[in-house]
Amino acid sequence: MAKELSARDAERVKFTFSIYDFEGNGKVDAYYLGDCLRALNLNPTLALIEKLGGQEKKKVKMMTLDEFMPIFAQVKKDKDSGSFEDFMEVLRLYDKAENGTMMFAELEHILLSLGERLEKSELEPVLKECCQQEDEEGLIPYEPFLKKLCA
Amino acid sequence: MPGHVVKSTGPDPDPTEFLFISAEQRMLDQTKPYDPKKSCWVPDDKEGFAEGLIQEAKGDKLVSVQLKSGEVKDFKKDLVVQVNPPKYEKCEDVSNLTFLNDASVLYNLKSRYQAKLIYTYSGLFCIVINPYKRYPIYTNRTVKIYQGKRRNEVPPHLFAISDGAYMDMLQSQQNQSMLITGESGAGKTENTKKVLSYFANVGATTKKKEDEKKQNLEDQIVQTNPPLEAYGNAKTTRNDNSSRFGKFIRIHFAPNGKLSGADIEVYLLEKARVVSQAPAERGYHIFYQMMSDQVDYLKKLCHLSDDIYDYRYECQGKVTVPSIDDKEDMEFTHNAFTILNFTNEERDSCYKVTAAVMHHGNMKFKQRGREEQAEPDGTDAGDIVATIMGVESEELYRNFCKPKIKVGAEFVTQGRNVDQVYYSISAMAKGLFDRLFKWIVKKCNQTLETGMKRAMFIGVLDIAGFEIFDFNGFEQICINFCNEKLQQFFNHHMFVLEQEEYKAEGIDWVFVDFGMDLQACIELFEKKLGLLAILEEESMFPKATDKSFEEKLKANHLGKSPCFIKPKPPKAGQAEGHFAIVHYAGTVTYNLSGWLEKNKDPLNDTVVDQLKKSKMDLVVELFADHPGQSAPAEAKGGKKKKTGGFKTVSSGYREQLNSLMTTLHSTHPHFVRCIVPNETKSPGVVEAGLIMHQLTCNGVLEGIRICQKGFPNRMQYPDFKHRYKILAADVMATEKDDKKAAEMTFQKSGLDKELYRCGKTKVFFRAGVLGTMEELRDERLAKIITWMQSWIRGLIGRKEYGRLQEQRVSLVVLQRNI
Repeated sequence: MAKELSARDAERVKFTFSIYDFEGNGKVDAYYLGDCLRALNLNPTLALIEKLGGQEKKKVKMMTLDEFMPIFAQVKKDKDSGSFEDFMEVLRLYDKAENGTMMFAELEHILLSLGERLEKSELEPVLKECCQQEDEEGLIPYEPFLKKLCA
Repeated sequence: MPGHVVKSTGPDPDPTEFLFISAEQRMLDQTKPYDPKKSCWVPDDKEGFAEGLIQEAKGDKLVSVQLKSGEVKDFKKDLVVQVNPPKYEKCEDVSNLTFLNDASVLYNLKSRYQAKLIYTYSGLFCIVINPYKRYPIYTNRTVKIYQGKRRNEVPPHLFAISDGAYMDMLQSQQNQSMLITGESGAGKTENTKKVLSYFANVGATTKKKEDEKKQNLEDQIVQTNPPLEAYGNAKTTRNDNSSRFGKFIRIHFAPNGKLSGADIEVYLLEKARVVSQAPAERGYHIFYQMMSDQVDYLKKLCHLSDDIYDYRYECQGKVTVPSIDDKEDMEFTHNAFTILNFTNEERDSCYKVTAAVMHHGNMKFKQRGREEQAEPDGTDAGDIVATIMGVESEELYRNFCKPKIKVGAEFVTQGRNVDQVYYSISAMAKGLFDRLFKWIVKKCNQTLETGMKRAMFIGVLDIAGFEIFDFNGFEQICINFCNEKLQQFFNHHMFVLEQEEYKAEGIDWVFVDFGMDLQACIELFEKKLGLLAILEEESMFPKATDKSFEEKLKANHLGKSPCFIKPKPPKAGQAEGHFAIVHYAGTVTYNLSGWLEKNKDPLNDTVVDQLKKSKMDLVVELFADHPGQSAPAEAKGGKKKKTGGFKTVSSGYREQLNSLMTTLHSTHPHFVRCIVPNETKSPGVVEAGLIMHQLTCNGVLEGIRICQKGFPNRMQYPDFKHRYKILAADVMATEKDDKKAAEMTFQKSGLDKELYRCGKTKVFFRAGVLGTMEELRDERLAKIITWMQSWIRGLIGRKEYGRLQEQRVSLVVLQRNI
């Protein structure tokens, strides 16, 4: 499997793996599986991470680089992970005036209550960074937000 | 009248929370636990229905369901019905629900009511549940929210319906009607008043200041209420201000939409209440208002004492009502007479006749010796009656005790015993009051006839809904027949509208006129030798008895009409019945005792003759249409009597009803259904059984039944595209034609073709299909949102990674430097 990766990718994976190898014994706690993948510019869903062996608790399972490499390859290959266009389509549903804006509170609400819910504490800094200030009616343009998200 | 609203001076309070669902509430509702496959409603004795989760099917007939309590119970399969997804929570129109079952309808109404949202639509109906509390939703501020808006732009409200009617009228120049029905205490009259003031408001003529002396029409229309309520409303067990009559008020407009007049028609005032009341009830308000000393000269004028208990007819139940201030209400009544252009003399005559009714109850009689002949036992009360009514007291007593009757071509006196005299005295008191009530209405109509051009009207019908009691008599059959006709009118109207829409949209669909569902029952009443014809015939036939009436009915209809059946044996508390009728709202057992007498409603003709010659104008006028005894010669010819003016109650009612139906058929109708939520007048409390019963009786469930036969949910193509675009984003993006795009989306989803139709401008769905569409959409939506969240987690992760990396680098640098 590892050979499907380019040499450059393999090098990146190796480096990232080493960063999460806190003990320095060539193994990474499966608790950090999601973090490793994200560090490598992937955006796996929680369901996918769990399926691939990610753990919710530390010290349950350790993995080696050889185990991690094919996992990375598989996630990278998976094209069904959403796109800027998909996100635009969804947020357009909340665009009542059809002018490219939506309620900030609604954006926050859907991310906190639907799908794989985010915690308010983790979401807040991201929205702060990626969203423009809401106007008097509580509206924000959502395209810039998605652009930043997908940059 | 508890209906009075004291005008406040400050700004109107904010009605928002009583109209809109708050954002917090909406979020809460959206997160309620729901499983599209397992969530279900099952019957529950207390709550009507309880929510549960389907565990498994047990064979073909049973399903085991886990209830909220954790208990698992088995239910018959057809009793387990689907729950609507959270998106439909507190839905403004129950006909938009994707699962249209009784449980969901009740749940939706209930959860809205408990969130202080008392108005909800059900297709063509506007349902309102009595809040038993004053919500600030009838203020001018609220009027502004609704004026000129379309129904779907604003939350459900009576004003939305009213404004719709007004706009429809202006646009189409077609007469409109609003049919407000419901049980006693449901709020019909209150809602009617709000409607009237809304129309008075929007159609008000602007030049108010110019002739301030002259009363303006909008005030006069609104001011018909106090006298009508004083004379036609009373406290009942259910309702402190119960209207004991039905009414149809037409508000006329000039071609420019300004008010130009009004007229009122009243139906069947409950006369028995004038002379007797149940222990927890009270007579008509006016009697107690007149005793309140609000108008200083009144008691002297009317020879009244200071104690209501001196008047036998009006003190058999309660004499005061905590929620009613009789003194203040008398002020309203008294002033309203002036605003309505009653002269002082007319007004005072009206009070005098009212008092005469009270004095009637004090006339006493005793048996003379061993003869079956009554004679006066003191003449004080009769003297007062005679004085007030402008007749001779002695003659009055004589006419009551020994009336003249016609035998062949001659008049002879007939002796009456004490019981007979008391009976005819109470009949006279009831008759007087009833005639007085009608006279007040007539006077109001004269005032509201302005001479201005009447181009079109909006009629408001405020009438008791279907009644099923433990004992159902003459009054019930009258009101139920009326409701059967009104329901047929509704079904037919709904059918016509649906048909028009399907046709216009070019949908293939075979039609059934749902109005015909009720035809058999209506024919049973109306056809030749039908129930009403037999009742009238028997009422005219001198030797007829309850027994002969019953036999004749059964001979003609039992086994011949599917709607006329034998009564079921009575349950505990129910009275024995003679026959039962299958109405759309249920089978009702009727007891026909005394119907003939009630229908004839006889007055002592000799007394009537005397009153016709009274010195008091009003009394003469009250009996002007009564033939009396000295009827003109042409009435002699036996059967011709009917044309001589003598009418039975039922035939008069039938005429009124026919004319009402003709009027309604010429209008575009709007339907308001009022509902009593509980029997204790408690705000926010919901008795499931009580509401379900009303939803059956008032046709809401009938409407939904019809709905489900067709395509109850519909959606414009642009809306469809907007909402379901994410189901087939690629198709929608490339296909410009909305209809084709929709058709392709359906193909992609693999939905059965029977479940939807693509019309010219809209997609039509069978009941429940929208739920499937929503499920598909929700799945897709959740998927994309999950991706978006994953991207956000990615962003957070990479930030964290950057930090870790920096740490690592600085660590390396640190190590190197050591």
